[in-house]
Amino acid sequence: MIDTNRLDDILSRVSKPARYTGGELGEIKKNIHAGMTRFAFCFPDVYEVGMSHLGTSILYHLLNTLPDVYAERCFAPWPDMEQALREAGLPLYSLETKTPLGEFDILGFSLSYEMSYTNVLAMLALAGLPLRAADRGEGFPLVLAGGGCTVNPEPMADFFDLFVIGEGEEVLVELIELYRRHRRAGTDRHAFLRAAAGIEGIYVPSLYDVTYNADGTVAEYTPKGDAPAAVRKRIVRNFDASFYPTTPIVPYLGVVHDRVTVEVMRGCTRGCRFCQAGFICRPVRERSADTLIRQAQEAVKNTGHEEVSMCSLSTGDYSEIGRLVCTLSDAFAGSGVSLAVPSLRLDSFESEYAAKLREVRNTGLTFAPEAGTQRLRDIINKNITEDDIFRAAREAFEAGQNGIKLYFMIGLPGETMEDVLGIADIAARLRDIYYEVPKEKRGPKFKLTVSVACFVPKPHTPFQWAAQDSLEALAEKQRRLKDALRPVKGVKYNYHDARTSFLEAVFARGDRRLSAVLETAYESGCRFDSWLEMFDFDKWQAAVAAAGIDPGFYAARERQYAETLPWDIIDIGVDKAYLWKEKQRSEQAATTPDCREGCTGCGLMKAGLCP
Amino acid sequence: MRMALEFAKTGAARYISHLDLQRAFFRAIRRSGLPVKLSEGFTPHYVVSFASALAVGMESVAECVEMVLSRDVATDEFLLRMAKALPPGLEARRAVRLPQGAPKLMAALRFAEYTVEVDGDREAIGRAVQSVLAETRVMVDKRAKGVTKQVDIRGMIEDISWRDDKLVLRLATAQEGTLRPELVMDELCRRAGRFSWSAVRTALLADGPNGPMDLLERCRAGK
Repeated sequence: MIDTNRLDDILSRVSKPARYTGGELGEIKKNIHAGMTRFAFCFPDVYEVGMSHLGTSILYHLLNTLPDVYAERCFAPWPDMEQALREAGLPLYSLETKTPLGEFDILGFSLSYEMSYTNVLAMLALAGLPLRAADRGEGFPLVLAGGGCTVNPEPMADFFDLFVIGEGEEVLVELIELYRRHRRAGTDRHAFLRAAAGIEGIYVPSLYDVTYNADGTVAEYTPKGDAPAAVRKRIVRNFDASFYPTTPIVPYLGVVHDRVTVEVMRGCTRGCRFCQAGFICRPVRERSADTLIRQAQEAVKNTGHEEVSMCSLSTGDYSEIGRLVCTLSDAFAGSGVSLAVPSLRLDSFESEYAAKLREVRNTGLTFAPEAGTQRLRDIINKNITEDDIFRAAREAFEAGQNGIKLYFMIGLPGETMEDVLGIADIAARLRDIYYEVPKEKRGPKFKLTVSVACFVPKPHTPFQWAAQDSLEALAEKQRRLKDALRPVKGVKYNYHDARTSFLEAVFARGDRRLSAVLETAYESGCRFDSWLEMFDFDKWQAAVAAAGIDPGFYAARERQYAETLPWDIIDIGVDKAYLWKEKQRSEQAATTPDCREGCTGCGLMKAGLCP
Repeated sequence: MRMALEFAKTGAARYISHLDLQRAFFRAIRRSGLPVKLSEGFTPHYVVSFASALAVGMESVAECVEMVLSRDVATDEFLLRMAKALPPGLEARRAVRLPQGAPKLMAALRFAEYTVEVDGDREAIGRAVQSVLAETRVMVDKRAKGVTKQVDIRGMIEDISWRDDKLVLRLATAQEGTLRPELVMDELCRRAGRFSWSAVRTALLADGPNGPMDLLERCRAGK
């Protein structure tokens, strides 16, 4: 345990001290005994972000159901706290028992966003650990990572002992059992890692030699010993019965998703070609409405939360959505508990169901057409039409809905300026539709938010071979769109910093050589790079230059089919040939139907992952 | 019916802000199942009202909050259910039923009492206390929004006394003005030479017939 007097002294000076105290309702307390395996979940962002992460909450409570395992939490300290810890000579510590991270058996990091990587290094350093796995011998904690980014773990490969690929519920428990067996037998770290590589879903990067071609592309991955040629992701087959925490921690601080979140479904059948989650999270598995209703009610009773959110990649596609929403809204009527349903797809939107939602709470409507023209929506396989958008909007306006939010991307493969300006046409048409609705029906004011992100090509998607638009091209598109939206009154236009998307593209499709860039960026002070006020592009450019890396090689280069990609080492169950076929179909603007209407042969069934 | 609750805010909970405290109460009330009234409107919330905000980082054993219940609940049951529902760091201590027409806690509040452990030359501190109490004006530097100005705090010091070997400060804490204990302690440090101290809020007080009295007792008495 760290010196709590010194900690109290620090906490009275830093911003939002409640980030660093623990002690919330639902926090797990255990008596520590010899032979207990101590695990720290490390989230490389602030408390408010990490405490909103459902995956971490599930695994934290799941591991704590194991009698001889104690899982605790740690979040990235905001720079004022990092500085205060360094000045006081205090190491980073767990919230539950204030134990220095270096004293844990296992540190488990969650990698869900590339721009959190420097925070991982900062946390390792604040724990007093060498950054690189090769420099951490016997006696150091085992440092592992899981989460969405691990479908291409390579830029972080040198920092971790192993990665958990796919859904963690089963594999993490198997891994900890193996760890405990090896601990009892007293085997060394290397022997444990070799054995861990035998568990499906565990990737041990030190068991592979990587060679590169003269042109900089990957030549070969050579496994050592019994390490598999590619590491297959894990999924939970019986999702309905899988663990869900109905007594989650209730933060004191207002966190980003400050509510009960029930997970209705994993996977998505749509096959939008830009969407990494849509490919890596396959196949679709639903929880039954009865299970969800029970979980939501229990969790509200235990937490006292005022909002329940139904979470998945595409909640509108959930087969029992009507019954679920109606039952829950009846159950919570008059109790001040509201329902939030994010990720609605336009075409699954039904007005009757919208009315039901309105009864519960007037949240705005959010749609993601993603692209401004039908041609481009066909290219990306976002199978909705302009009519779908306009019909749904008209129904929303007629129901008195005020605000509508639309999400788009620019920089998509095959995009022209016409497609970009099509976004403004949709906004203008929505404004017309609003004024066509009789005054007494529509809300008092037309409010449309148009959020435009920059496309980042991601591994394991049909666009994994694509070049990202240059910063100049993205800036030009943003500027032209801004001009086109200016005359449409009532529209709020949000757009992302293209430079963040550029770095995201570099690290999303990066290889092991990028670890040097991350190390330099960390050393030069990069932290919380996904926070606009913290992002320092100049430091990143310097780090890239110092490592002798051409970032365009990763972000802006079109790849060939024959190229060995760094993330080929990870097998998500979808065939590379299928992804290539989808890429070719996209070039002809040919759409691929939802696989619920018939198997499209993505490879998951062949891999034995799809029922 | 109106019910008032006295609670402690200690340990890790002393670092939560007033807004966070309010949210923690909303959730505790929902967990308790008590029939606390909800506000009207699209985003209904429980109608609770705190006597005063406590500075982040300060511990207290005497915070007060009131709420409206839609049906009668026995005081003991109310206390028990809140005690069970409150999260770690927030501890229900006392419940009082407020009669019709009783003033709002916030309106009746006049003073907060702080009990301060001091680590320094007791005699020097005692002399500093006496000199502060003997003066009619005590000008101190007060920083607000980046600007430092001189303010007279004497009128907001109701009393400073010793209880055992701790200092007890009674300071104005009302809608008309609030004096934070650190301003007083900084002034005592200036007069007695630097010493370290730590304060806990130990009472909220209203005007009574014979001087300051317990806030909840005052409100229980009605108009």
